[in-house]
Amino acid sequence: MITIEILKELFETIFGQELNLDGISESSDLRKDIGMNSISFLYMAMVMEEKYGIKFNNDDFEKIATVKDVMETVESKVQSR
Amino acid sequence: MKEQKRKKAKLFNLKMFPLDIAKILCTPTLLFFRIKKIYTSDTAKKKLRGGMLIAANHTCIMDPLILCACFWYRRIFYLTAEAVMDRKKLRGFLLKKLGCVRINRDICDIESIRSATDVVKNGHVLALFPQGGIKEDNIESIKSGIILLAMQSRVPIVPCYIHNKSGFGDRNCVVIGDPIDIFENGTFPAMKEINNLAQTVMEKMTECKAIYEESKEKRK
Repeated sequence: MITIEILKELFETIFGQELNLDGISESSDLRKDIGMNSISFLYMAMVMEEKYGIKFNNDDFEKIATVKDVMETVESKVQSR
Repeated sequence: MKEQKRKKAKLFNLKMFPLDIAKILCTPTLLFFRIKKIYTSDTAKKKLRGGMLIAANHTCIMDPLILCACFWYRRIFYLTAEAVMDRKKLRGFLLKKLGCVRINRDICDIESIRSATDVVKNGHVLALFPQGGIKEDNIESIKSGIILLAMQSRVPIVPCYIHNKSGFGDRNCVVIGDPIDIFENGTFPAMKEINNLAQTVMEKMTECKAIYEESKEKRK
C-alpha cells in the first residue's frame, strides 16, 4: 500500500530542493502547492512505473491534481495489475 | 534500471517503406542543400550506429530536411508537436508516415514519450529540437524532457548545431558534437541532476555553434 510517507520519501529523493515539499499532505495540490510542472509529472510517472510495474496513460494525468489522487491512482493500478 | 545492449534497426522493414521511398526521392535535395559537415572531434566523426537521440537547434522549417540529408545513411524520426501535425489532416498523415512521433507539449504526454522510447529502443535515430519550437539563433535554454527520454531509452544524445544558409554564397552547415552518455547508476537521479544534464547538452550545442562561428571566421 502506498502511503503519504512513502510518497514523500520518493518525492524527496527525486525532486529534493527543486520543489516545495515542506508541509506536504494528502490534500496538497501538485501544481499550486508543490510547484510541479509537466516535466516533473513525467519524471514522477516514470519512477512510479519502474518502481511499481504499472503503466500510466494520458487520461490519468487529467484526473491527478493532488497527492491523494496520485496515491489512489497508483493504488488502483497496482491492484488491477 | 538494468544495462541493456543497444538494438540495431532492421535494414529492410516494410513499415519503413514510405520513409525509405521519400528518402530515395529526396536524394537530389542533397545537391540543393550542399551541406557542410563539421565534427567537433574524431569521436563525433564516427557514423551513428544503433538507437540515438539528436539534439539540434531549430531556426527554420527546413531543419528536419537538413538533418535528414546530413545523416543520409540513417532513418531519422522526429518528435513533432501535435499542433504542427494536426493543423492539416493530410500533412499529419504524411508526417506520421515519414516518421514523425507526435507529442502534445501542453500536457504530460507520457504516451508519446513511450512511443518515442519504442522508436529509439528499436534502434532508430530520433531527432528533437529541445528548445521547444522554432527559436532565434541563440541557444538559451532547452527542455529537460530530452534527458528523461535518453534515460528511459538508455541511448546517448548527439548535440548538433544547424546553420541555415542566409544568402547565395552561403552554405547549410551542421556541426556534429560528441555523443553524450547519460549517467546511470541503477537509481533515479534527482531532478537537479537531470536539469544539470540538460544544461550540459545545451552547452555542447552552444560549443558546436562556437565551432561553426570559428570556421566561418577562418574562411573570411
